[in-house]
Amino acid sequence: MHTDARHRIAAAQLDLVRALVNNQLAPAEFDISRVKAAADALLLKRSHSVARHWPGVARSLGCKFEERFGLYARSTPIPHGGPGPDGRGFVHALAREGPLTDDVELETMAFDLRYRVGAEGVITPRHFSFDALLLKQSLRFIVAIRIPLLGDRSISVPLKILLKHSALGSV
Amino acid sequence: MKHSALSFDAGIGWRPELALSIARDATIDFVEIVAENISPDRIPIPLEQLAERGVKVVPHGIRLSLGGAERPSIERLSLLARLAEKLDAPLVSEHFAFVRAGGLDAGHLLPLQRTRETLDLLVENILEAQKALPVPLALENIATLFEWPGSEMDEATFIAEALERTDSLLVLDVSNLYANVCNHHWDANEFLDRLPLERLAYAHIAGGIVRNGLYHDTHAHGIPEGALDLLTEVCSRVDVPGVMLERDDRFPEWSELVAELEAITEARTRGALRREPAYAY
Repeated sequence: MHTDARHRIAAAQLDLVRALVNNQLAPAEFDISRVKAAADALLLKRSHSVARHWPGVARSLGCKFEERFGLYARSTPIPHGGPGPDGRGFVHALAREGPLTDDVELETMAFDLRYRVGAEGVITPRHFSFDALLLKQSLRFIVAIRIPLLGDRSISVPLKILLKHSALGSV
Repeated sequence: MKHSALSFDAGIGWRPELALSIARDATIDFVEIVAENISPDRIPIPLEQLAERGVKVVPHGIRLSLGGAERPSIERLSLLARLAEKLDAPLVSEHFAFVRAGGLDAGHLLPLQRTRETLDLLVENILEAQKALPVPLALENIATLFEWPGSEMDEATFIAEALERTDSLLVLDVSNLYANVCNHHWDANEFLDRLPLERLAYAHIAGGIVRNGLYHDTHAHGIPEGALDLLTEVCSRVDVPGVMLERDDRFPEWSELVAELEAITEARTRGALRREPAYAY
């Protein structure tokens, strides 16, 4: 088939996808209400998918999850790699708005230990990875390590014990 | 292409949430996996065990975008091919759809404009995909809430010509057809009249829900009676090699899915009896 034909189809398909995922106007002659219904259905499917992969995030936002996710998703195209990196991007957006709950922090740490998100989607690093964070709600310090073939290991230390040891050390 | 080598019966979409129940149910004799969710280098153990037990596993692609203006990705095709080889799959399946354009991902299967030009593009892409795959390719009709303006033919004619020109097999999703009958007032019988049902590899069926006056094929609710009636109609026309239940969300108790599998068998039997009065599954 002629290259021009592929270009023509590419342009028409791109206009449609933009209307569906970027909140843009439906291309001429499409049934606007039906395209809007499809866009809403796509958004719902995307949010369910992220909620399933990020149950801590969904739990933490409760009944506000769909609304908050909708705000994020309307301005953010679906990243390569599906709901894993999509949820990671959503957490990133939530973190800009305010502190995250412990549930979300832990879920994010587990994801970051296991995966790296790049332009081509998610990859699972072959080398070991390490992360540490402070849970602000329960005041615990978490250190986690992922060792390929062995899995994840973590320790959780209450902050007051750390502070006590730190105070003893400074005497 | 004939499909006499394929012989399925009761099938269900393999999902991690259902893995244990599927492993325990000896009546399941074929499963379909979402190809993009399984790495050929890390096949889940329950899936390997099913394959060893003789349960046929069909990799079902959802991201090839065969109707898209971009040529099918060599990497995606290679993954699909390796999965088929690893699991000794009798075929792989995909859709009459596109999922991305200009690098922008829709996250779902989108309908094609049914023009001669798009048909030629689809045929080129399918032929390219077939060259990279070690097993036959079957293609599925999709559900859509809207249609492209300027289409030059109906969907069944479009599908039939694409299948004939590429010598591909058909996965007939009766629930997708049901959705399009509900939302676009298609005539299901006319649709089936025009399809080359002799190319049918297997059928899909799933549940859905009516929301704001439109039927949504959610794969997260019960199968509507109308979809079961359509399955009966298909089975009255042709000996359907297998029917697969799709469930992707709001997973119920296994007993509820067993009841749906039984309803599917009953619908098939009703159709088969219409075709051959002495027939029983």
